[in-house]
Amino acid sequence: EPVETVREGDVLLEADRIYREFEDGPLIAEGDVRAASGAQFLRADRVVYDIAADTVTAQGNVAVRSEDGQLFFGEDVVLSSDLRNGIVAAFAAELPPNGTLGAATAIRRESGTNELRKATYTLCRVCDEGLRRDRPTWQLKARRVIQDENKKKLTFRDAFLEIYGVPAMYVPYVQVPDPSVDRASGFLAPQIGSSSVRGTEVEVPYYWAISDYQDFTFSPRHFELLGTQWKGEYRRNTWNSSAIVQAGIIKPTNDLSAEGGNPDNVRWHWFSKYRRELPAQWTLEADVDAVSDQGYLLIYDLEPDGELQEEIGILRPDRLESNLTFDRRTENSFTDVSAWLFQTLRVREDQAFTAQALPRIRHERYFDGLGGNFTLGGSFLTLLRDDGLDSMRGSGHLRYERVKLTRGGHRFETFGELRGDLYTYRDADLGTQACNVDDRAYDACRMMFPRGGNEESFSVSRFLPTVGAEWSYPLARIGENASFIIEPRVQAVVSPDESFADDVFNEDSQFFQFDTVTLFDYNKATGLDLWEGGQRVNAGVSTTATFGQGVTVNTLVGGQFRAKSSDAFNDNTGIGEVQSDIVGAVDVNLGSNFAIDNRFRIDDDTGSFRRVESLVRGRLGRLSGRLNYLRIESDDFETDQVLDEFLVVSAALKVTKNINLAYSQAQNLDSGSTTNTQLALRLANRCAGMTILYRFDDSTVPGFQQDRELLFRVQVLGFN
Amino acid sequence: CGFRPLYASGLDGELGGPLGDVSIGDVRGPQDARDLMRSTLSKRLPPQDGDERYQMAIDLREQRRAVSVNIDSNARRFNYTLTGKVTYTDKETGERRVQNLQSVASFAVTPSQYASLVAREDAVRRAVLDLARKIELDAAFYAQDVAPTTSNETLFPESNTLDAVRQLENEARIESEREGAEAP
Amino acid sequence: QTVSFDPNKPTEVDGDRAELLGGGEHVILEGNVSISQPGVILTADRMDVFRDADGDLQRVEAAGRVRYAAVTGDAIAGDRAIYFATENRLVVQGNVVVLQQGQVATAEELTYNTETGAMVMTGGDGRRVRGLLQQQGES
Repeated sequence: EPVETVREGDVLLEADRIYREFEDGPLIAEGDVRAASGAQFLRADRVVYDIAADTVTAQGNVAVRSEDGQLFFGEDVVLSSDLRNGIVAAFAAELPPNGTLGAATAIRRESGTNELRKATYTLCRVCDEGLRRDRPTWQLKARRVIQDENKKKLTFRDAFLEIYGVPAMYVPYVQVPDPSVDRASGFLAPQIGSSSVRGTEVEVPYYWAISDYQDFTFSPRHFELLGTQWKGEYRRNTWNSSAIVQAGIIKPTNDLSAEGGNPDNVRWHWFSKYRRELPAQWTLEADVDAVSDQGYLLIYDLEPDGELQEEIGILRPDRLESNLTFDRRTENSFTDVSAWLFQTLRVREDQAFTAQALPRIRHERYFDGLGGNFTLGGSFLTLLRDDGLDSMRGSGHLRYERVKLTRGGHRFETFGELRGDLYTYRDADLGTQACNVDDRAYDACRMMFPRGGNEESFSVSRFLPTVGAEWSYPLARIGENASFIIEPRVQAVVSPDESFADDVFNEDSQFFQFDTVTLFDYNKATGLDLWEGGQRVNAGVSTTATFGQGVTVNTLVGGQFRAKSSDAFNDNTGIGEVQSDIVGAVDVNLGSNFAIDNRFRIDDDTGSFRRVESLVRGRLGRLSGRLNYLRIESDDFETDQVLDEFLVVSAALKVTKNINLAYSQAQNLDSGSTTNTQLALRLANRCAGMTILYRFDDSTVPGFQQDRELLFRVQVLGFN
Repeated sequence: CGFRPLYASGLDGELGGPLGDVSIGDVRGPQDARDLMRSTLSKRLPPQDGDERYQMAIDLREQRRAVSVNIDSNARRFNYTLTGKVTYTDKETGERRVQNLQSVASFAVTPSQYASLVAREDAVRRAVLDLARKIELDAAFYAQDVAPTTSNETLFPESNTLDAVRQLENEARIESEREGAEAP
Repeated sequence: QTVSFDPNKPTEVDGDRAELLGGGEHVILEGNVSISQPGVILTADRMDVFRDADGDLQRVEAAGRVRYAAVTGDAIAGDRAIYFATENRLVVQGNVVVLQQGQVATAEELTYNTETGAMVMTGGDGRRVRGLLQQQGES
């Protein structure tokens, strides 16, 4: 049959000699081998194309040109068969005019960034005479380097400057345009600090390059009051897997009786992430976060760091998640088979009431039809608790959506969904964590469970059809220096008006917020347990105004109108009545120096702001700052004064070219307490820098007093 | 009063109109956001036949930030901010335009940890659908080469943590980026 | 699995003209000549077939549009070829084209072991071997 045309990912190979040792063994090409696939190009003395393992291994003065023309050289390159991702060992990049970049290992990621491990960078030609014959005048060795291909920038982490080969200074972070490399183990600069809870502390990190693909940073930390914590970070990367572990252990020397969560005398932590690509587009991911006892992270001021950090701004996680996930993503399907384990570190929460998801299985398939797009999918979830409710849920859905534009510029979207859920509950009368706050309230709280918390085990099934359509009609007026878009948008949704509050435990949709983003979701819940029924219309008008010099104002105001009120939503959410609260957003950008984004919800009865969230970011000359204000009132705030009000402020002042001040504070305005304050002073000139950080942590978790901390760090600055 | 329909195209049918001439190129960024953005946008644009004049490449960046930190330092509410840097390339003139659009979805820590996980995952879905709608409007605007360029670089990258030291390091990065940008 | 000429299996030989020399030890065949066994076939414009005293196939020299094809989908083409039956070795020279499991390659000279499937392709004097390797497992 005719040979198909060259498809994306095929490799054109050219060599002096190509041979194969047995029937379907690897194809080996030798002699000035050149391979090209799409815009990628590779040249080497010898290339082994292993069909089974789907890898291309190139050896002997290898040159690789990536899609966008970045040229790499190496000795031993392992790439995926379409030459896109892979590991380049001992690789150097030619960087005009006389800079060279090379790394022990360079990992090319799908997202276009290359991560170089153990890189040295120098812009000066290696001096070949005098005392330091083989050493460049200066060389920057770094533990980790991220090469961002499109920005042509290299970000060094924990870099270390060598002057004539003598280790001189440590730089936690430096970014340089175009650099060069080698690979060695060695000490990184220590960190000294003192805090009221931990006394003086010293951390001395040692970096050990185990092999081309793995390294280990051993960073023991000695506390004057608490003893010595042996901790470290291990990383291993191969062409189809990556692993990172941050772990530590300590035999505390301090008296533990005051601390909550009954710690025993050997305390430890383990944060790890492992990812591996499997055949047929499956990937395995195993993340484990665990600590020996609830107070561990608080007392030793620890959190998952670097690649393991997920959220920003939380000081020390008070809850840990571990999961084992197999997922598969193809052009038209998504499959996820996973198990999730949770550990609560909150002293008042009972681990026995924490639900573990064993297993959670989701599958969806996407296909086109009837001029639109279909999604056929299902899920199976089991939530098990040591003592408390066990729930099992099976759900299936078929969704259809279609978008159409008319000649006149009207945009119509039609959608429909057929969904069926089946629940089985055991120990339903024991309830969930929500009620497990303190014993007195428990029995009252249980009354609100389905079936009044009386039935021990029962099953529920429900069939949930939904059909709807959305109309919008964006209008634009373009002027010389100002242009406007105004877009009315109306969505009508029809589904049976049923309430399941007394039948289904809300296990996965406990967070709910009615705002401009969920306004046009026809089912506004985050999960499946909460379901929005009835006939309703979601309507809103958005405007975008753009003036000269990048001044823009965006607004959106809208609300929901229901045929009948629904009890699906809790009170204080502003939705569920015949007319919902009014939600809106107003964002103002003044060029690139000031921006204020406001999001709010106004009570349709009283006209008062039930929720206001403002994010202000500004820069005025040398001062730049950021303020995040949040205020949430209960629906009858006028009587019960129930209020959540938070302010998070952070600012940075460039006093002079070399002196920088930074300040940040988190404040609970309602209770008037400050939860966290930080002040940092940085003195830096072109080649060295020192940071003094003062941190006041006002947490009053039982068993812990407030912590005041002072930290010193010496830095070396890279040159650019 | 000078307003005319943005999607008016003169021909009925599928998502024709101005979007008919826009194709989606590379969508980069974290996996969940990237996959959902690519599938959502491809449903909004008519099937691509390769000779579209404008190509759109999208760079997604996500950030989760604590918004309210309680007295017992248990963060309760978070904002998931999804920023899309959309680079339009006009294949005929070779001219490029960069537009930064942003969507914020909230999620929070609830009594049940599984519900907190679902809330965090769903925030990505909501932010992507919201951002996809903004990109669709912006693309329609751009495809009729009437689009004004708003501030073409995200307002200075947000400092990303309460940790004041990282704040300083970000200041240094902004400085070096600015110097880098100004350098010839 | 590989399919190869099995010297002791029945081999069917045919061609437009045949000439026997030396009592059948050297047969010259001309005009779309083909030697085939179940699952494998070798064709050419002209072939010289050499047999030993008791009639076992020793060597076949083929010239002119030489084509070798096996039921496994492997196929080889070239200007000239020599097949050493006892060593299961086929040497093809001149504008050699090889098709194996979707991989296409061109070269100047090829040595192919019909037993193990091992193959060596070289560019000959100064010329290069070129190959197109297709992505495996297209989903």
